[in-house]
Amino acid sequence: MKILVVEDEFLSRQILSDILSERGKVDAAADGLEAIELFDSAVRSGIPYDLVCLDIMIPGVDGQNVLSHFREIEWDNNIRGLTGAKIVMTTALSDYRNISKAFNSQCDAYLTKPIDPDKLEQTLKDIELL
Amino acid sequence: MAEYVKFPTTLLIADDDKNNIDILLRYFQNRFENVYPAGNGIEALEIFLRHRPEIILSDFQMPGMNGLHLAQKIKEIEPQTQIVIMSAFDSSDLFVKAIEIGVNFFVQKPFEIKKILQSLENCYKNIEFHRKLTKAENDLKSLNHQLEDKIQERTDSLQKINSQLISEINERKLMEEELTMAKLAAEFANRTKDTFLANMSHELRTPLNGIFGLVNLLQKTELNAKQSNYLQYLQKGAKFLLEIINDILDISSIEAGRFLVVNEPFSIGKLIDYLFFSQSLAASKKNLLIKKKFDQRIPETLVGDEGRIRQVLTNLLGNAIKFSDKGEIELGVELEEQTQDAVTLLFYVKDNGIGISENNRNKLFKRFSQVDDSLTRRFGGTGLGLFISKQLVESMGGRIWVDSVEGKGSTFYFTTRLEIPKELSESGQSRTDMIDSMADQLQIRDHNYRILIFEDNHLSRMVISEFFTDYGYNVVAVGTGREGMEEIEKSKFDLVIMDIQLPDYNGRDMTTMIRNGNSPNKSIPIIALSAHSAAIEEQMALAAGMDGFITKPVELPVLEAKILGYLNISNKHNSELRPAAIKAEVPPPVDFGLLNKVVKGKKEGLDRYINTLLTHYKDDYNSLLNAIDAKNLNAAADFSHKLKATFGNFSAHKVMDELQIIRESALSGNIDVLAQQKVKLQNEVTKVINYLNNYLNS
Repeated sequence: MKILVVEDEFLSRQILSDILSERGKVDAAADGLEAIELFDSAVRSGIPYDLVCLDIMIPGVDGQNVLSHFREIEWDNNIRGLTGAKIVMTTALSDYRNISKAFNSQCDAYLTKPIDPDKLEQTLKDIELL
Repeated sequence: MAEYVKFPTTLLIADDDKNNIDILLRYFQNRFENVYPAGNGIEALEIFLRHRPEIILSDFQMPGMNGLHLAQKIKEIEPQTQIVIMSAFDSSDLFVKAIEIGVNFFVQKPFEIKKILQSLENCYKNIEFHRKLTKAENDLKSLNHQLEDKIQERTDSLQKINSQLISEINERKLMEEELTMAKLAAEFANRTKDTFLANMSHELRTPLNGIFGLVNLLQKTELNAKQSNYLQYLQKGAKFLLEIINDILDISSIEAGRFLVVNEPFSIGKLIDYLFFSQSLAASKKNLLIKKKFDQRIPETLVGDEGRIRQVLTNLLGNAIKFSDKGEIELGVELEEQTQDAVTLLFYVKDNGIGISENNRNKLFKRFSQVDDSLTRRFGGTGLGLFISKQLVESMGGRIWVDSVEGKGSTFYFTTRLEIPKELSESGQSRTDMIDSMADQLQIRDHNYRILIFEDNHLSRMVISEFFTDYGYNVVAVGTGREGMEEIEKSKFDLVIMDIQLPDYNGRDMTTMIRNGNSPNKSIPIIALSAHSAAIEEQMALAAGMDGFITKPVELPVLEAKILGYLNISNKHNSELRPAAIKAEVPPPVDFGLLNKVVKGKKEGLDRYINTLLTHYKDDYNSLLNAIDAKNLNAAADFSHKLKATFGNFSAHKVMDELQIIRESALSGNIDVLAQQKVKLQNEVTKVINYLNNYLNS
């Protein structure tokens, strides 16, 4: 599994990467622009990410916009419907607006920080990655 | 022609030969609804325009306008008209042209009536077919219209519902936002109130502590009768003031919903005894007699909030004594109901006092209401006692009420449900037991303990050090943290009493310095003395590594007894084990639960995360502090959010709470709160960092 962790906060980034490193190769990005570049080049290379963990409050481009960009990149490259990357929002924001916005922009799951490894695993099962 | 079919349509016959017209009319007149004869093409066209016959039977050769011209005109006007041309058809050109124009049938001249009839029949079939087609089309069209109408209707009503829904959703959202805002505002207001009350209680208790201390000291000097009398008044006044302050603080914590009910095993019998003895003295001064009645069926040990029950009973007894001038007061408890695992007890306090009129009974349990203003002047008090009692009883799931006859006396009742402990073990030492054992300890005097006292208030410092010196202690008293640290480095002490708020350092930081230093006093018992009584203060002190927490004002003999307790523990136990043993009850400021799941319980993994935090948190933390100082609200909001995630991994809830308040204050532009919060945050972060450092070192 190819995984991208987008998280500007150092500790959560390390923890998420550690948890997910059991599942595959993990790349990490600390801001929105870097994330979009990584995602775009992965799609172009023909080996796109299977899973993205995406924080919302990140510098550069915020996570909600990053999510929209990801889905646009996939659309432009003819990756449509359920074949795209599984995107799990991992954020401390838990208000209704952010959650509904993320799902409207086609995220696959929404987890609030601090990330509980058990919940993360259950989520990965729910979105059929495990 | 006995039987012929009549075609329900109209026919025009055009022929310039009058004989032909006569023959044709004779044959077809009765077979059509109407038959119009015309002598030439022009006449035929006029008739057509006027009557619109559906079938035209026309000769080809006619003067003026021939049959084909007529046919052409008619087809232009009404393409569905059926046209039969009668002709010799000697040239094929004519035939082709007729077909091009759209002539329907041809009859060879000289005509046979039978052939004409066949053609007309076919014409009628075409018409009929066309009529049906038109009708079907129309039906379809009207059905279509109906459908469209219905769809439109549906769409309209759906749109209406939709817009209703949208406006409802918007309303909901608006309400939700308003609610959230109101909630935030209320929380802010509450916090401000809490801070205000905590500060007020500090401000009020500090001077009161001085007064209590000085009175204690003065009472030990030689006094004449008058002075001694004044001193008693002074002490009474101070105690009364303290009572009022405590009442007000109780009210504020009741209203903040922070009234926790504790469930611990205790003895009702001992509680009643304790109340009986402690109130009898006060009663005897007014020549009142207290009697106690105890229902022997009540189990010896029960589980509940002894402190609350004592507070209510003390209040009721105090009132009974206050409002009675003669006779006796009865304090009793009866078993009202018993199940396998719980009992319901009925407590009562009965007096022969002034009684309460029916009108006034309803007011009794309300805030700030004594029954009569004139009585307030006579008897004093805040009027909060019964209100607090009611809240206390209800918080324990009970009920409080009064029976009274004016002039004859009153009986106050309350019920409470208490659990029967599963194992009737004697392990739970009740507070009444503690008081007994404290009294025992007061007698111990043959020691030479060295104690170090940090107290910045000059008056309090003098009082405390003189008192302890009198009791045979070797006392060093300092006014600042810096002086104290010098003493700590210099020589060994047995115990430290430390005011939490020192001018240069706060007591918690001092404790951390002592614990982390290399002085001979590294693991000395440190007792916090604070005018703040809030539970949070106590937890913070203990979390910082202090061993005990005592609230000012404190009566010095009580303080001494408590301190002796700590000295005894410290002597009995190995000094290295002692702090851990006492600190075990203090909840740590962090929880490794989540991280332990991540590292699957491996200590190296956990240590690595702790190290990562300790190495990196300062970047965001300092950025946040700078943002607050620079009043940069956006940066403050962002960094507080980020740090909240960082500390969230350690479940450092207090730090997270403070960060959340900072974020909300920053987002709502509340700069004043930000500055206050900064200090709180620093305290909490220091605690967590100290704890994590200690954890790594242990």
